[in-house]
Amino acid sequence: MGSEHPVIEMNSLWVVYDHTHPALVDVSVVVDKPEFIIVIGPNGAGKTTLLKVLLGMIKPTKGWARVFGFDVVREAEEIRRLTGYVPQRDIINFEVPLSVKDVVLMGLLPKKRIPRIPSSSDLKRVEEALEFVGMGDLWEEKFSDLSGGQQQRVLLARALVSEPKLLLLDEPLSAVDVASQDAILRILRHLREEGTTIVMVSHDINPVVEYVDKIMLLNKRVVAYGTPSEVIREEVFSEAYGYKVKIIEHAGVCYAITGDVHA
Amino acid sequence: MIGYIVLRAALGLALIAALSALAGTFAVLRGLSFIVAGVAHAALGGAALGVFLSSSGILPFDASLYGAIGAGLLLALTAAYVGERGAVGEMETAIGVAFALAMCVAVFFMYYIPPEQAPKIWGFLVGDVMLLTDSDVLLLLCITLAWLAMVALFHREFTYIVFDIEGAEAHGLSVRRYHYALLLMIALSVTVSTKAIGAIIVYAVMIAPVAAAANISSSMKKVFGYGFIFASTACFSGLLLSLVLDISPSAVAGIVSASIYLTTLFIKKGVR
Ligand SMILES: Nc1ncnc2c1ncn2[C@@H]1O[C@H](COP(=O)(O)OP(=O)(O)OP(=O)(O)O)[C@@H](O)[C@H]1O
Ligand SMILES: [Mg+2]
Repeated sequence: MGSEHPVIEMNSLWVVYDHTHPALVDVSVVVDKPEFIIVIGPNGAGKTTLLKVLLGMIKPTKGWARVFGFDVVREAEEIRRLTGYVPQRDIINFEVPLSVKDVVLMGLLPKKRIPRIPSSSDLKRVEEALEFVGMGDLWEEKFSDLSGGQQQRVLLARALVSEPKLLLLDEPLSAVDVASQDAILRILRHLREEGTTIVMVSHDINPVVEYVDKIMLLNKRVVAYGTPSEVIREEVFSEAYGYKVKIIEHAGVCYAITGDVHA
Repeated sequence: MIGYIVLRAALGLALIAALSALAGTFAVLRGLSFIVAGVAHAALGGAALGVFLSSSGILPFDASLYGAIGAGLLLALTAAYVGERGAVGEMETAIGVAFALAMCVAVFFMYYIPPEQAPKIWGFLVGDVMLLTDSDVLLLLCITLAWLAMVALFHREFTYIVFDIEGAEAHGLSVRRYHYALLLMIALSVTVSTKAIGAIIVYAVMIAPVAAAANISSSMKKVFGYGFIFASTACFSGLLLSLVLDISPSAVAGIVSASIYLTTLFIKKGVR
């Protein structure tokens, strides 16, 4: 099924909030084979909105989008079966006492029938997913007691436990220490090699640029989309951010210097 | 007879403690503590409308409870509709608007209600545990049982909603129905508790005990368990003290639950 259809198709896609507030403007992008794509852009550029459209959580105001050939409005359920999602960590309520195991189970149980009782094979998969992200020994821990980087890895395990073909991540590297950043990026590269498509929103291009196939520069519209060497050019960045951005090259890798800091 | 009244009051309070542990937990963890005050006041407005309709002869029966339940559910529906996209801040605003509207409705109809009917409405504000009726207790029992059944079947779904509603939706949960069910059940619980013992004590025991429980718990089971223990402690210390001394049980319950909450805050800070 995945082979006949492009992974992602977006066609003249608009999202306008409250009838007046455009968040995505005329976005047309096709991803026809498994790739590691990073989406960058300033605050309010519509990055989170883009991921939510692909999951069918926000309806396009105009245009259409398909994931594995499924329409995001009418066939969101099918898309969600094949997709893993790591939300921006700040939307999570840390007051709710959940164990690491319970958080990861959340990636499996909603896809089951009521009453969603975890089977022993579900628990096995949770264990494997946690081991895969290097958190195997922490599964009884309370999620909110972990460090930011550990929490991010648990959320990644939650997204991976159903073995998705498409992985959408919203700023998984923010407030994460360098060791965890590296661990996460190495995991993503491994998944990419196994044929998973990855769309990752990031505020910072520098740590990821050597891992990714494509960069999408978003500022409501798609300012640029292409390989790192095509996209990382000063005039392109300056257009997206609305002010001068400096690009420096080091050891064959381009780095963008922007004044943009995440709030 | 006195024994029966005290026993009935005790049963009512135990049920209210159970409802606090259930409805209160989800209200607090959803970030919607304010819905308790909102629904309690909506119920007051609804009761005033109900009493007006009955006393003016438009309805041939006592409609105060129906009015209260209707208004409480309406407030919850409004909040749920506004919050379909998950924005807790917008829900709180909607609750604030509905709250104010309901109080205006209450004051408006109070003006036309015969004075001897007024206590029916004020009962929603300052109730009396000793004035509980059999039907109040029966209603409390039914709602507690409904909650227990719902939580037994759907505790995971409800927990996912309060933990991360977007993640839950993205992973395939039909979050809308659980979101509505949760708010409607909270509203029903608050309305019936308010009718039974008055809004003042309902504030006192619906929020603080479960917030205290959440401070010190490592699992949802413990939140429910400690929440029930703390809410019962508050309710029963109020009841017992009011039997020996001439003081308001609501006030005692409020002071006890606030003290428990503060204590757990210190424990939590100490642990960190
Ligand atoms: N539910 C909503 N209702 C109304 N406006 C919204 C909603 N969600 C987002 N917006 C607005 O749409 C714009 C794009 O938001 P979005 O969250 O997609 O941006 P983003 O690129 O993810 O930003 P950030 O870097 O801050 O995470 C913002 O201006 C935001 O205020
Ligand atoms: Mg965002």
